[in-house]
Amino acid sequence: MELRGERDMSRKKPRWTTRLLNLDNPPIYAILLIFMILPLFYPLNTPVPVTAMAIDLYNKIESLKPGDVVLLDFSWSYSFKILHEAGHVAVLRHLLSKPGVKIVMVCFMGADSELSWRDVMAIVDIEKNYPDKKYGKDWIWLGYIPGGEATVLAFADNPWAIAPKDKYGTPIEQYPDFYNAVKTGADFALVIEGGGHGGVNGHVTGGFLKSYGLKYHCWLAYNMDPSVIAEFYPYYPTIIKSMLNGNAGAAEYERLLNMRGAGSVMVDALSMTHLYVIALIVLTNIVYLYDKYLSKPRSSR
Amino acid sequence: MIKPGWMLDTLIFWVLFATITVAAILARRGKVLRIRWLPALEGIKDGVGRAVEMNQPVHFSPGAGTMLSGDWATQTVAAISILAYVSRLCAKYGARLLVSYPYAEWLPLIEEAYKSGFILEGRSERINPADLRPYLGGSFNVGVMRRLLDEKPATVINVGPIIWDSVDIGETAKRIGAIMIGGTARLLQLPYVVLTSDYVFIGEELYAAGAVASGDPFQINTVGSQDVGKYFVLVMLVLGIILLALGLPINAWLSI
Amino acid sequence: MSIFTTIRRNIDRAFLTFFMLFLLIAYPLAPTTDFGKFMTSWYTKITGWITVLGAWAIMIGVFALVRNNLKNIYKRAEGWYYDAVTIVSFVIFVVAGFMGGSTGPIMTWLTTNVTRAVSTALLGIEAFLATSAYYRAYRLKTLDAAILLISSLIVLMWMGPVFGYLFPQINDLAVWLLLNPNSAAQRAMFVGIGLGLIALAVRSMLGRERYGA
Repeated sequence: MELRGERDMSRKKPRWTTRLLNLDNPPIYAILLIFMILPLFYPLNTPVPVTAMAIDLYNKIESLKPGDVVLLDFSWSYSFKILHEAGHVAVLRHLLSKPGVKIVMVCFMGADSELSWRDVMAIVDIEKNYPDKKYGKDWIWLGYIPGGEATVLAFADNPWAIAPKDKYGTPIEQYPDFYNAVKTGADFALVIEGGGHGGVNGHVTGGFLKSYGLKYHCWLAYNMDPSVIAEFYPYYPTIIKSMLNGNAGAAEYERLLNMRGAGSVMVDALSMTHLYVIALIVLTNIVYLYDKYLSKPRSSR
Repeated sequence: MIKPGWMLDTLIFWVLFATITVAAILARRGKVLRIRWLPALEGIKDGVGRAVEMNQPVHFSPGAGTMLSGDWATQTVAAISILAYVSRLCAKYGARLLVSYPYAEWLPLIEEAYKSGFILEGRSERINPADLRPYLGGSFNVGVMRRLLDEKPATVINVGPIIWDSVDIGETAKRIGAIMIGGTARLLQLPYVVLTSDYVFIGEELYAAGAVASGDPFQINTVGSQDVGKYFVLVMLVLGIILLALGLPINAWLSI
Repeated sequence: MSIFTTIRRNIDRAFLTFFMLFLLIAYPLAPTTDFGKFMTSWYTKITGWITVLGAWAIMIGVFALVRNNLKNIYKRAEGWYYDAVTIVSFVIFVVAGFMGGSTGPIMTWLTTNVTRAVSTALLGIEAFLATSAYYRAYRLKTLDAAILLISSLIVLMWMGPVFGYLFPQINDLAVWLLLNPNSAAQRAMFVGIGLGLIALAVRSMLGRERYGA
């Protein structure tokens, strides 16, 4: 009878373990696609545990008093809207539900981030859903302010010098609720940066960290791109008070608001794809270890 | 006069700045610091040699995040220094150099670095502007992947402010059997660069690479004298732990 | 060498050195004294000029790009049709920009229906490429690889909400990983990178950040 080791040496076809460890891409992609699409047809209503960061942001917004001014930033490129829109919609809805809270909306990323703002506003629809909230009294939109990090830092030092008019050309002096309440970044009760692109040294994200976080010690929160969140942990919780982790963070916030939005819908696909990737890695390593075992001569196994 | 809480930071910065400047100037008097050779630079040499043997090109890209402001601009400047080194090696050994870049505003500098190597080696006839190809904005990753599949370079170098191109370009390089050399000071992308690359410039090695590769004593001294800052941080760490354990008000002292 | 030649050869480095030193000195100053007010006001102005310089750099880059692409099209260089597509797209977007600005109807339509659609599709590819990268790279070959694998699995599980529900401890473990080893390593790397930046600034100021030297 041939010993297994001898048979292996003359084998023309590689072992099944070796073939599995050197799979081409199409089967891997095909299974991933199935896992992604499945929740579209069979919604799973994945349970979403709410983390401390989402609770902290929720409690902070709950504690805002009439007259407090919040800076809400929309600095994500339009192609990344899928990552940030849900979180901003949830947070904006919560802010608009607080009586007397004023919101300054701005973006620093690029001209196309104004379209991101437009889409969020279309979903929230202030005129229809919050008819008591008036433009100029409860919220203003400054539009895209070019210049990158230098502009973000300068805006924090003196917002109305950098943005003397709103997007529609009205001087800010005509909005006394904002003009008199805010002189520097320190006067914002809450600063929420949308994007996180570029990490801590990104030209907008880094600017917010350096100005509102390190210089003015504001209550700083990020609606974060999940791929960069790890880079911000050295600053949490001393400088950054809260980070919403992309769609998962948006889903958590929606749970706190008892609403079902885009974040909750996307969490199903998120969970399924993560499940697949983890299972793939674990199975691959089990096969790898078994392949190593089979590669040893029979006598030493 | 100094902002409150900034006195110590400003002092430390100027001391470090002066140390590095003095060390650089001392190079004129022949006092050159010895620094280790970066393994990834050796990888670049091996890669260019491999390209010459296999009669295939070398591909270079400065990362998809080349921006004009902030830390990413400095990483791009460092990447362009490495491009100049790669260009010189390619000119010396006769390899074709392909360059892909994502933003038009860096083209003049990239062109200059690309040409400098060929001109310095007296091979200006090998300069081919068509080898510099832009893949603007979001199309950079896919454009470079397509180019790699078409041109099949033997060596792929992707250094600078990398966004997601580390995974895309690294996977494609693996698929075509090329050596992958990556490097970034973007901490977030470092794990992906390490996963997909055969040789890596980690963090500050990116800034040091151009200087080390040039062999210029002035530049080498600026790299070596950074260790003064690191020793200073180590001493501060140890002192800080001891003083904190003794219950002394470190935070107040450091906030002057 | 005459004085004019010396000035001509070194004027760019002189400007760079002057402005870098000025910004470095002005940055930590408080506007509480006359000198502080003077320096901080000029600091704000100079950092505003950076925006203008950036716009000029973009212009130079665009001209160089158009010039190179037109040359390739004229010479019928390899892949010249891609250069033709670049030029046509460039013209369309410039004309659209002039006809209504960056938020005008044509630009909005182009951005919504062309740029966003293409960018989102390209972004969607990342998921697949990342999965195949993990499949090939995460193997238990060495101890370092094992540590990388286990910590990556923990963070991956933290990112998938269903795992936080099934294994509540994952959240605490992942946050501990991110707050402790991750933060410690990043802070150390920040120090190194910061020092590298200072050295790069010194080389640039003293005019020794040369290519191919």
